[in-house]
Amino acid sequence: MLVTVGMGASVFFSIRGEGEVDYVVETNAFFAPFEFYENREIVGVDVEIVDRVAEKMNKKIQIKNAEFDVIIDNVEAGKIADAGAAGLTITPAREAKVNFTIPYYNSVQYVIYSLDMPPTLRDDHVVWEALAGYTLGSQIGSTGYIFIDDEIENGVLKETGTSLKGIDSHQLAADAIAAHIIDFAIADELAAKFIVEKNPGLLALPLYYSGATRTEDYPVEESYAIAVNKERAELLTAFNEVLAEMLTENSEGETEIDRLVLKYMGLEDE
Amino acid sequence: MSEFFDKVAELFSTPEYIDSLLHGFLLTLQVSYFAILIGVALGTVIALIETARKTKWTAVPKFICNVYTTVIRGTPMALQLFIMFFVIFVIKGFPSIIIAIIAFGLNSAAYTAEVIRSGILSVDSGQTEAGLALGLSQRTIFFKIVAPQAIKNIIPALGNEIITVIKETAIVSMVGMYDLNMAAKDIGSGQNMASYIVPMFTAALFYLATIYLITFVVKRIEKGLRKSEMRGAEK
Repeated sequence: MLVTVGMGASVFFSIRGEGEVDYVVETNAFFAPFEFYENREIVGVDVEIVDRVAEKMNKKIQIKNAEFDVIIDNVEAGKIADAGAAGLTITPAREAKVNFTIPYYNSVQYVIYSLDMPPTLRDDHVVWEALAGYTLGSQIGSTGYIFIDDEIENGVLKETGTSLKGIDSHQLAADAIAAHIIDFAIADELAAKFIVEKNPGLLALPLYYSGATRTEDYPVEESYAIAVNKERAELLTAFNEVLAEMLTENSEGETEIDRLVLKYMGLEDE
Repeated sequence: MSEFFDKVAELFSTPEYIDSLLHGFLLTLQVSYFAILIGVALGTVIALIETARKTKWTAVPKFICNVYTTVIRGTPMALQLFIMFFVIFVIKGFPSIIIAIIAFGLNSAAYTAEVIRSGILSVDSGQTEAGLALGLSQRTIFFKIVAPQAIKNIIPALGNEIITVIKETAIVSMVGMYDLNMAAKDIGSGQNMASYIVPMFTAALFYLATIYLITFVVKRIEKGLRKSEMRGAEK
């Protein structure tokens, strides 16, 4: 009986303050520096953007953690989430479902590999062709996953015996290399850098499309934006206004987004 | 291998990590505890309906209970959790923990019902008949003759169900909840330890310790209930 009361009280305290919200923004809190847990609070660049929007609109916006690959669908449905801020790359398939804000960060895809088994390198990068015939892994539903899938379906990796494994998160994909489940993992630049920094056995290099010559190789680029439900025009406007402000360069040519990225990577110069 | 132990040392010497694990552990306990309460309460009702005599009044409830246990036991828990989160409780800002408790409670009820039903059926119907022959009421027969014997058969299987629920709640991390499993993911993620292996082992220890404790308690209760029997005394 006493246990029930105690447990009930603890549940009550944990949900106090929840419920009354104007908007819900979904994220996947395993993507530092954009969103990650810090003492069980979700923090990061995307969270700062959302907070700024909440302040501007004078509304209560709740940030909710979700699996990465359900965010777009939840935003499209608009019933449990109004927007998604999860370092979401703009892709045509996603644009059909949700409205994207202006892009606020450009990233490139990186290949994470083990020191024991590096792919064939081209100077300081890896080209898609070097991955042919291997087992690749990426966070399921992420841009890396979509890109690999495209290349295998009808790109340079078609009919090369390359296979793709969708893994729960970028981090687990990196662990999967050490466990020999996959040969290489593909992840966004910053996520990849965080991972290799803490794992001495792993390295990461940018992934390039091969051009006619080595110097014409070009990186696999993408732009992050915030996904907003198609019927929440006011939210989209607010996000765009806030992002425009945050992307304005100061006298040193630095934007607030740049500064926040550095801050959450722990690289801010004090 | 030394790398593994270095990571173990790092995890245990970082207060934030331990704090995260404990918070995750609390959520796991909260969800499991209330899910089990709902499971036992609802499961008992279902079991009583299912074992009741067939009359025109019980036919429909019996049918409903039968469908309920069939559907719940016949579909994966992860799917039921997703349906709860993405189809049924599509209320913005509704606390996740309540949805999870309901999802696991309803799931556990179906299993608990079967446990209790089998416990009740394990008492030979001859005893009920004997009771009736002696002129005892149905109520007295159930509470004084059937139930005390049924409980002895129910407790071990119920303990098993409790253990299953506690471990199964690990899937709430799939809907973004910060439970013990999510704490391990958090600690293992890029900005923290950047490897899942050690945090997962640590989370496993928490589950193991909890379940060991529950097994111990259930064994004690079992022993108490079997005092009147020879085989209980031998143990």
